Amino acid sequence: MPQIVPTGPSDEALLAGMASGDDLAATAFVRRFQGRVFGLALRMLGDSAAAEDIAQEALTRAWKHASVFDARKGAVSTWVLTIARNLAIDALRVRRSVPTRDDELARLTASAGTDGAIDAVGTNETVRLALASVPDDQRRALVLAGLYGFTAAEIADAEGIPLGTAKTRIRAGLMRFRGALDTGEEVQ
Amino acid sequence: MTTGDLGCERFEDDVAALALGTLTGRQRADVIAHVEGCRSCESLLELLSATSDQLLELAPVVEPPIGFEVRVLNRIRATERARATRSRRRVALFAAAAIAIGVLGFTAGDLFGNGSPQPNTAAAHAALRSDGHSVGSLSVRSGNPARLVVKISDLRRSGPVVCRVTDEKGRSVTLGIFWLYQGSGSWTVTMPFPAKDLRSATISTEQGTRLAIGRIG
Repeated sequence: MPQIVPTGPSDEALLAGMASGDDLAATAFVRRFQGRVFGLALRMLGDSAAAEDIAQEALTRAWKHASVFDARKGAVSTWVLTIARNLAIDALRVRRSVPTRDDELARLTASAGTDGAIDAVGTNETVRLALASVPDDQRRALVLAGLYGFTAAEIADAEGIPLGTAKTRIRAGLMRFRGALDTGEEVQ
Repeated sequence: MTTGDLGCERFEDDVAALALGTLTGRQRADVIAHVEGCRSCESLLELLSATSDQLLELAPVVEPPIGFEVRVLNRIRATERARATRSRRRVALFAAAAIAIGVLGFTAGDLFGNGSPQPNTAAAHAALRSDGHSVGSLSVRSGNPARLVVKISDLRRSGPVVCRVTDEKGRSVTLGIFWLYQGSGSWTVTMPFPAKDLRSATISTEQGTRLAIGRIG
């Protein structure tokens, strides 16, 4: 799987440049994150036009709030993607009708993929392997909730299971994922 | 999670949902109210939130439509212009208000009480030096949290710099990466330890070359 290795200033440096009003830093920042932000929005919304709106808004908000980013609380990439994810969840709440196909869920844990994606799986092998180690039903619930913003009730409807089971799968999946990440990080 | 008195078991599933950002309305409010009073669930929420963030690493990288970058940058610039206009309006309004107060013959002290000065929260001040020359200043403000104000005016470079602080026990903490433009830049950042413990702050390149240092005391 190709790894995307950013060159030039660090993510934090670009964000700091953007916060100080540097136009070149803002351009470099947008260039660096546009693919991931748009990719996440597209995966969640399944509609290119809606995904572009969300991605534009997410990057604009990152610019607006760049000066309050605290590197001690996490990575810039996670911060930007969280902004995009929250915006996409809000959009989905208004028009929840996106079918999440089984093959899309399967691809999230596969080792490669195409369909127009430069890197269909993302950049973090540890995360992918950790997710792959979570049992199928829990993984589906976890990905639907964590990446697609489904509530437990929506997962229960989509999967045809009781609400309590959906909630338990989400929690158990998240705990298994945490455990697998810890193990993976130790191995690395 | 076994703090049975607080009924943590009842919230286990919902803490996970809260970490994933999928809890809404009343349920969300109920869980937050519980977590705020329960250290055990607060720790669990912190752990699961960090775990949930990792899922975002699975987001695929997809080339956006042609022209996307230009449209985002135009949007940013439009927002910047609107912000600058609002700021100018605020300054103008503030100036007009100040003149009006002056005309009426009031001072701020007359309006707001006994006129006693506000407590000065500046805990320490030092010059930032590079090769023996002053290139800026450090100002530490006590409070919770303490804040460090860094002003650089003459470092003869543009681009990112790393700011680190060292406390009285010699522990160094990176506060973040900041940006200099034509040798100048300023920022305010929260301190990881009390203001009185600060002994020095350094400015360096991302590669670790020291550019300037300011020593307190």
